[in-house]
Amino acid sequence: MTQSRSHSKLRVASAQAVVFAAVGLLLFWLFAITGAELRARGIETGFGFLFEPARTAIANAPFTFTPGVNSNALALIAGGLNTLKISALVIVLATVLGLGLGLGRLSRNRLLRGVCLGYIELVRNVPVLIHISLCYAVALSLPGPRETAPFMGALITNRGFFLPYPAPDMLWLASALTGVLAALGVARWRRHGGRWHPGALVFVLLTLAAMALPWLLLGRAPEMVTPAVAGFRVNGGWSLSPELIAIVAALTLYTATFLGEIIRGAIQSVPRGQWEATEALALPLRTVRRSVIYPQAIRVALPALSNEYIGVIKNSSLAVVIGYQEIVGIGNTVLFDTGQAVEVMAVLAAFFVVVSLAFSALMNFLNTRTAWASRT
Amino acid sequence: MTRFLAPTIATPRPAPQDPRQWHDRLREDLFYSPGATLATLGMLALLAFAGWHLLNWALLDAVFTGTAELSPSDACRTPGVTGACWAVIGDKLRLILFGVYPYAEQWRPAVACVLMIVLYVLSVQRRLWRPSLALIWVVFLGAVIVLMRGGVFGLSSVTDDQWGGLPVTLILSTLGLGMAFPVAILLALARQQRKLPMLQAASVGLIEFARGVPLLVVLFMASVMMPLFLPADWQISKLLRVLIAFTLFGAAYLAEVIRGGLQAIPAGQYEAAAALSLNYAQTMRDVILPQALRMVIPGIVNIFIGFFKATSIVVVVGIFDLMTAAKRAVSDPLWQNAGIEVYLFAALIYFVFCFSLSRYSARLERDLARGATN
Amino acid sequence: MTQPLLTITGLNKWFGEYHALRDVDLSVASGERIVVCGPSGSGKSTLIRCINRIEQFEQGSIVLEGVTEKGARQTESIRRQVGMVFQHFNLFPHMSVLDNCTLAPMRSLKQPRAQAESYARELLDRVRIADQADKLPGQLSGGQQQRVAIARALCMKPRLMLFDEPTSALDPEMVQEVLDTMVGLAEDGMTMICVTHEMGFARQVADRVVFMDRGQILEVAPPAAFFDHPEHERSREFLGKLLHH
Repeated sequence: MTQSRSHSKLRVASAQAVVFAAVGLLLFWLFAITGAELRARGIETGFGFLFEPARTAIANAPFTFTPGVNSNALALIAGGLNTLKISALVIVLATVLGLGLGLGRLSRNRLLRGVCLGYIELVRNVPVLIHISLCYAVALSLPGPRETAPFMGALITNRGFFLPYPAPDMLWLASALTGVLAALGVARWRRHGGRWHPGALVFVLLTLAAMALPWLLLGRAPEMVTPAVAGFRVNGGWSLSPELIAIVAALTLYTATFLGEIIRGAIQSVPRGQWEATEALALPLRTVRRSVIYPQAIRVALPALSNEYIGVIKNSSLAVVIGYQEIVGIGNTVLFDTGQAVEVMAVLAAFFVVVSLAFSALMNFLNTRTAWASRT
Repeated sequence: MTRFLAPTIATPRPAPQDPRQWHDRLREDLFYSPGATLATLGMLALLAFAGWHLLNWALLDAVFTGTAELSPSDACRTPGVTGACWAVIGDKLRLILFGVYPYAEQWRPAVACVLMIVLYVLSVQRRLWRPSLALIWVVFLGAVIVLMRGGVFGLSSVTDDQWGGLPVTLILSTLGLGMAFPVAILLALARQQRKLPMLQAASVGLIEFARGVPLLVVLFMASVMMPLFLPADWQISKLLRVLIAFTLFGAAYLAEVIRGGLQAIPAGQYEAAAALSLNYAQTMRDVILPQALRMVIPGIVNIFIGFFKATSIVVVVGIFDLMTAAKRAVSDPLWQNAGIEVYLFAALIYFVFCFSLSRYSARLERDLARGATN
Repeated sequence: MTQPLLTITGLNKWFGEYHALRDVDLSVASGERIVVCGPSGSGKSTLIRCINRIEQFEQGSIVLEGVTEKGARQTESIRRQVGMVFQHFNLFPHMSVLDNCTLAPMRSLKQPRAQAESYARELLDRVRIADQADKLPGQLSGGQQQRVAIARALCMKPRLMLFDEPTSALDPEMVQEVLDTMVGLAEDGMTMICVTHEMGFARQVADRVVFMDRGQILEVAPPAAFFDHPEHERSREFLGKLLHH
């Protein structure tokens, strides 16, 4: 017995050694060949290039970026910020749309169920890249700035969307303050109040009324900065480029179908017994959903949702096909400027791995917050 | 206290007819409350509005061909034309489907596409879910490669930089998955086992790396880094490099699906195999893998659908697949405004493949679930 | 004779083409304790699930005394007055024991939190788990969970309690604590309908035993008479099997 165990131990140890040697040899081979190849092409190795000035300008930089002055590292940071910007926008918008689709699929209204199912099947069976190209083609086929009329202060043109935004005005601050105070007050009432339970609509209306109060008292609306057409250009307003709109719209429309199916599945995964218990207790449907079903569904959905969100961060790299400069696009530019393929790829890979891991950690934290002791 | 005894045993009766008429059903489904009525009518109005505009754009006002005086692209640019320009599809169909493959030889990619579709149809037959299915794959994919490359049987040789369109999409996804499959099994087994921690770590590292990084980055690595890793005289074509990248990338995702199947096998199966004194290889080959793989077939089909859609990303590294072909068609100065039409056509092709596969996968999942409970 | 609390007449239910309940008639007086037994698939659970409309039925009527509304309001009114305990507890796993108990009184009966909480604590004390009030259901044993489920149902101050095989999902050593709670409830005069195979419990508290088979009530008798001298052929068969296993 002991002999055969030591024999098999020896075998395992030798197998380990073989694996170790194989991995080592492979790495050595890669480094040796690569080193020779790079020397032959006259490419220096190392990360020194990061601190050299960048040669190419960046469209859609999130801050002023001057090629020849700012470094390659700063260019990559700009790209990283753009990646995160796209991802954050898409995650928020797609979650809202996905929630609508998921709940719509479970609606009692047959038409709504059908519309949601049709949308989901139609959109998710087409590659996201086609959606991006289509959205971009649509964004470019909009009328030019001079052929369009402002809609509620916003200009929607083939040069992008130009939206009004609040000007610095103390009235906005006052309005926000009364709104928050009113919301907190109503929430407090709801928690500790007696017979009267204000519903969601009353909640929103009261908050809005409180926000309008300072306007009424002062007798004027707060100021907005609105875009205006000047020649072929548009001045003022919050501008969104056609590229950004196309990538955010396409990723949102596409991702929402997957989120919707996850949310539907999670709600359906809540055991029938839970529904029956709420029926036996005569709970109103709104309470059933909000207090019993949704909290349990969220816990089921969270791991799958976080996978999907990480997928959004990775898919945002596809913005490169329509020329929106996020980290992969800029990495590609830096690569062609410097020839440092291995290093640039290492930076890109590290960025995505780190962002994915950080996001997973965040989701795990949320998961433990929503977790409860499991029944056995 | 009195005792009650049933005088007779009741015989089962058929269920009474549902007393609801069609209009009752309609009310229950669509108009059960004021809010529902409002939502239903609103949606109907919206659908009618969108449908009418779509009908106008896609059919009534659309341009399908050129006329005697006008070439197709001029017909589309005639002032007053507001509909879709489907004439571009007729004009560019061969380019979109087969890329720049020599025009006279384009029957070959067409036959290759048919072969691969036949392969899909064969693969979904449950009677054929045996190890010999692997042989069928090897034969069919071999035939496809021979047909596309030529150089034998009197077929003229066509290098793979001239391949394009739908067959490239099918080859990348099918061959990529076919080659990824054995790699994925090895990766999953390496990750699952506990005896060789080095091997396990290597497998976990590879899987998590490939899953953590966008496919686009993997493709860039294949197209710009792989040449550096290989000796100068070993250079391989771009299509092959991308295929290798796809294989490794797909293997990582497949490995996780297969591992899910391995984990779902109850410990009793391993114990029973050990009690019958089977060794590791026998246990895996004869007991565990056949059960685990069968269990995860719907997952594999879903990976394949994802894979099929993901092939479109090769447009970025300049491989001529369906997506690139569509982009190329739009880059023709004559057709620059036909982007929406061309992409919709490409979308339709992707949709037909992905939708039928996803329907199949959903049905399979239901069947397997039912089989498991029986 | 006083008006019965619950009157079931001519109840018929189908699952698709399967005739699950066949011409069931039963009336339950206030304060009466009924035990329903029978082989599995005989429609016992379906019967009591029809009482609080967790199952719909095609023919017949189930009338709870004092409920005069029609349609959806009637269903809600019945559910408020009828408590139910399930085989698998069906506690809300993400809420503390106390929150499980106060949710329905607060949301369905619109009681203020303080009132709902003090009554819930009183009931938790009565089922002897007051000290677990702030734990999650998953941290309790099966027997404790089932007692919480009983307290949760009692928080609605029901006039009738339904028990759907309350002990069959429990480990043997936990059965007694749940049965003791139910006996205590019966001694306080609660009207109860219990689907159970616990014959000791039936003998101790039941006023009548209802025997069902294939969707039909075949025999109704006081427990002593039923268990010692079953008259219907199928009852004898069933009891014979129950005793020999």
